[in-house]
Amino acid sequence: MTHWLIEALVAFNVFMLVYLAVLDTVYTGLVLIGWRAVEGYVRRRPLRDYATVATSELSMPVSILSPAYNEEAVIVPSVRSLLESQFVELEVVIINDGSTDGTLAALQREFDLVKVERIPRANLPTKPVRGVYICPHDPRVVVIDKENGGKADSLNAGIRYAVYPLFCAIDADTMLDPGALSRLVWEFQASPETVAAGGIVRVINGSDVRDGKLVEVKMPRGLLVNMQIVEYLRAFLGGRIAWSRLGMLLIISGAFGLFRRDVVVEAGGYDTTTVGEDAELILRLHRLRREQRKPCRITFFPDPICWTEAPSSLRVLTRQRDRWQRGLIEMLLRHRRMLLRPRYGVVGMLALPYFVIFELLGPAIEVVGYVSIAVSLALGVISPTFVLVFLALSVCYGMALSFCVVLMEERAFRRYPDWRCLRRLVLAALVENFGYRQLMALVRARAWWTILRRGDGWGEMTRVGFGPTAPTPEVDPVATPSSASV
Amino acid sequence: MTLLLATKWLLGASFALWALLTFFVVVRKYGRDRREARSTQRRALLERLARDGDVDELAEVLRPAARDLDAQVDVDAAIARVRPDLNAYRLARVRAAAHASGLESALVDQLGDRDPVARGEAALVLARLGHQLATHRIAGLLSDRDPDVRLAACRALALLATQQGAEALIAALAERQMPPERIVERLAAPWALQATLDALANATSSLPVEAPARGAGRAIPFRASLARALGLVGDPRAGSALLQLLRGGSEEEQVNAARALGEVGSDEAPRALVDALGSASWPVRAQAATALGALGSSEAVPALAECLGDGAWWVRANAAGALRALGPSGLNALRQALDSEDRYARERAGEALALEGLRTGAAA
Repeated sequence: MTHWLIEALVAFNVFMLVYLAVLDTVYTGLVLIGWRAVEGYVRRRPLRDYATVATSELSMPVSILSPAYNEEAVIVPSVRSLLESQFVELEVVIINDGSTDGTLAALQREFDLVKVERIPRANLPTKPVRGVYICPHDPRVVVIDKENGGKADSLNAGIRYAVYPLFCAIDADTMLDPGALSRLVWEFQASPETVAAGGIVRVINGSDVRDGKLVEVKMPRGLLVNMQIVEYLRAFLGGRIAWSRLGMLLIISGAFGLFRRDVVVEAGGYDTTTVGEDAELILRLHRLRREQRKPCRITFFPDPICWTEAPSSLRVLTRQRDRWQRGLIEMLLRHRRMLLRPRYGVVGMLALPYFVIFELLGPAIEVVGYVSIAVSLALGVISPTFVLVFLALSVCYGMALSFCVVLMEERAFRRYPDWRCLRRLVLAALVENFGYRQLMALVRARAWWTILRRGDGWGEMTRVGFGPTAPTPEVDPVATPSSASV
Repeated sequence: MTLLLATKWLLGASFALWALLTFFVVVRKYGRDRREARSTQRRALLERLARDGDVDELAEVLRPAARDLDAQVDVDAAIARVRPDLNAYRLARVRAAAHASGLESALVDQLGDRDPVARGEAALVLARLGHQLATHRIAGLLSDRDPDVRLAACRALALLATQQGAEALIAALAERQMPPERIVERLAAPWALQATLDALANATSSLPVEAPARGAGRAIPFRASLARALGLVGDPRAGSALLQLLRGGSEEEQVNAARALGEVGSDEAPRALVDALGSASWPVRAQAATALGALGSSEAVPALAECLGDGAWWVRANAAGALRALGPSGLNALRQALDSEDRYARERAGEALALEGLRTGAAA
C-alpha cells in the first residue's frame, strides 16, 4: 500500500512540475505579448484622434445598458456619471430588476420620469416588463421597470428596448472614464468585423469621487483590496491584451463591454441560466459566427477604463470568486463541443484547451498539489530542501510576473501617479504570494464542489433561437436593423 | 542544519529579487516623473514663446524636437493649444523658428522614416506649423501601409486646409484607404466645399474604385460619403447636387442626400423629401422624415403623420421626432395619432408627446 502510494506521489509530483513549467511558460509568453502590445498602443496614441470620434455626428451611437437591483444609494450619481460621458449620441437605459428598495423612486424623483407605451424591438425572452419610463427633460434617459430575473435577464430586457446599433453593458455601481466609449467605438468603425470590444476594469476603492465623478485616483489602505488591484492588472495587462492580440479573447468583463446589438440579438442574447453570462456570451458569439462563416473580431483595449468597487471583505471576495469560477466552469462545459475542433479556429484549438487545462482544472490541481507536497514530506518522498526550492521559485516567479504588470502600468498608463500608490502596489505584489493566491486557488477549486452539490451547470446549452419562448410582449413587426446612418 | 541554511538562503533570494524588482519600478517611475515634468515645462514654455516670444528663443526650444519624438508630441500639443490665438504674423514667426531650428527640414525627412509613429507625428507637426509646402508629401501618406499613419495624414491635411489636400482626401475616400467616416469628418469644412462639389459632379460611379485597405472600415458608396460631407458643411450651394442624388442615386446615396438636404436646405428640398417618404426603401423614408423636421416644413405634416403607421420602426420614430420639431401643427398630428387604431403609431406619438411634456401616459 505504502509502496503504491509513494509511486503515485512521485508520479503526481513530476506531473505537477511539468504542469507548472508549461503554465509559467504560457504566462511568460502572454506577458511578453501584452508588453509589446501595450508599448505599441501607447506609442501610437498621439496619432489617434479619439476626441473627434467623441464629438462626431458620424460616430456610431451607443445605448448604455445598466441593470440595477437595489441600487437606491448609487443609482442617481451613476446615471449622472454616464450622462457625462464624452460621447455625442447615446442613451442610458437603466433596467430596474425588481428592486425591493427605492431604486425606481429615486430615479423618478431625479428625472421626473413619465411612463410610456414602448414596444420592444427584439425578440428575447425576459421576465415581464412592468413599465417603460422616459425623462421629458433628457430624451437620453430610459428606465425599464421589470420583475426580478437577474443580471442577464435585465440586459436582455435592455437590448429589447435599446435603439442604437451598439450597446454597452455595464454594472450600475461602476463608473466609465469620460473618453472610454469613443475609444471602443473607434474600433467598431475601423474594423466592421468587430462584434464585441472590452476595456479594462480598475478598482476605485480609496479614490476620491465627487458627484459621480472621479476626481483623484488613490489606492486604499486595505491590503486585501490592493492585492486585488495587482490581480486585476495581471489579468488585464498580462492576459487579456495578449489573448486579444492572438484572436482568442474569451472573456469581456460584464462590468464594461461594447457589443453589436444585431449580432447579440441573433445569438439569442444573454443566457439567463448561468452565473457567468458575460463570458458565456463571448464564447457563444465565437461559436455562432464561426458556424455561420462570418467574420468575428472580439477585442480588448487597455485604455478605455471602467472603475468598479472591489470587495473589501474576505467573505464577499470569496463569494465573488466562487461565482466567477462557477461561471467559467459552466461556460466551458456548455461549449465543450468546440474543444479541439478545427472548425472553431484558434479558439477551439488553443484558447479552450488552455482554459480547460489551466483555468478550469488548474485550481483543483494546485490544491491537490499542496496536499501532495505535505504527504510527500511526511512520507519522506521529497526532501524539505526540494520543497523550499520549489516554493521559493513559485513565489519568485509570481512576484516577477506581478512586477512586470506594475511596470507596464507605470510605463503606459500611470493611473496610480503618486509614490504612496506605488509603494502599496509593490507591497501588495509581494504579500499576495504568501497566502492570498493559495486562498484564491482554494476558493476556485471549491466552485467545483458547489456545482456538483447543486447539480447545475452540466446541461447542454439551451438555445433560445429567434422566437419568444417566455412571456414576451408583442414586438415591432419589422425587425429593422439599427443603422448609424438612420 | 542544511535545511536551516537552505531556508535562509531561499528567503534571502526571494527578498533580494523583490528588492531588485522594486528598484526597477522605482527607477522607472522616477525617470517617467522627470520626463513628464520636463514635458509639461516644455509645453508651457512653447505656448508662452509662440504667443509672444522671440524667434531665436523659440528656435532654441524647438531644436530638440528635430531629433526627439517625445519632444515632437509636445510641440504638437503646445501649438494645438495656442493655434486659435495666433494671428498670421505670430504663426509666421513660429514657422520661421521651426525653420531656423532645423525642425522643419527634419520633419520633412521624417515623413519617409521607417518608424510609422515617426512618419505620422511628422505629418501632424508639419500641419500644426502650417507648412503647406509639405501637403504633397503628407498626401502621399494617405496610402501608407500603416492605418494609423493614414489617419494621421488625413488629420494633418485637414489642419493644412488646402484645395490640394481636399482633393487628396477625396481621392483617398474613393480608394477606401481608411474608414470613410474619418475622411468625411475632415472634408466637412468650408475649405473643402468646392473640391467636394466638383468631385460629386464628376463622380460617374457610386462605388469605390479600389479594394479596401486594411482598417478601411465599412464600405460606403463614394458619392454617399461626399453627400454626407456636404450636409455637415451646411452650405446651400450644395442643394442642387444633393437633390439630384436624392432623385437618382442608389439607396445609400439617397439616404445620405436626404440627411444632407435637411442640413443644407433648398427651395425644392421639402417637395423632394416628401416624395422620398414614399420610397420603397425604409432607410430613405426614415432619413427623409428627419430632414423634413430639420427643415421645419409644416406642409409635410400630413405625409409625416402617415409615416407614423409605417412598417419600419425608424421611419415611425423619425416621423414622430419630425412632427415634434414642426411645432403646433406637428403636435396636433401627434395628438390625433393617439386615437389611431394602429398601436405602433400610438406608441411613437405617445412618446414624442411625452418628451414635449404634453402627454398624458400613465404618470410615473
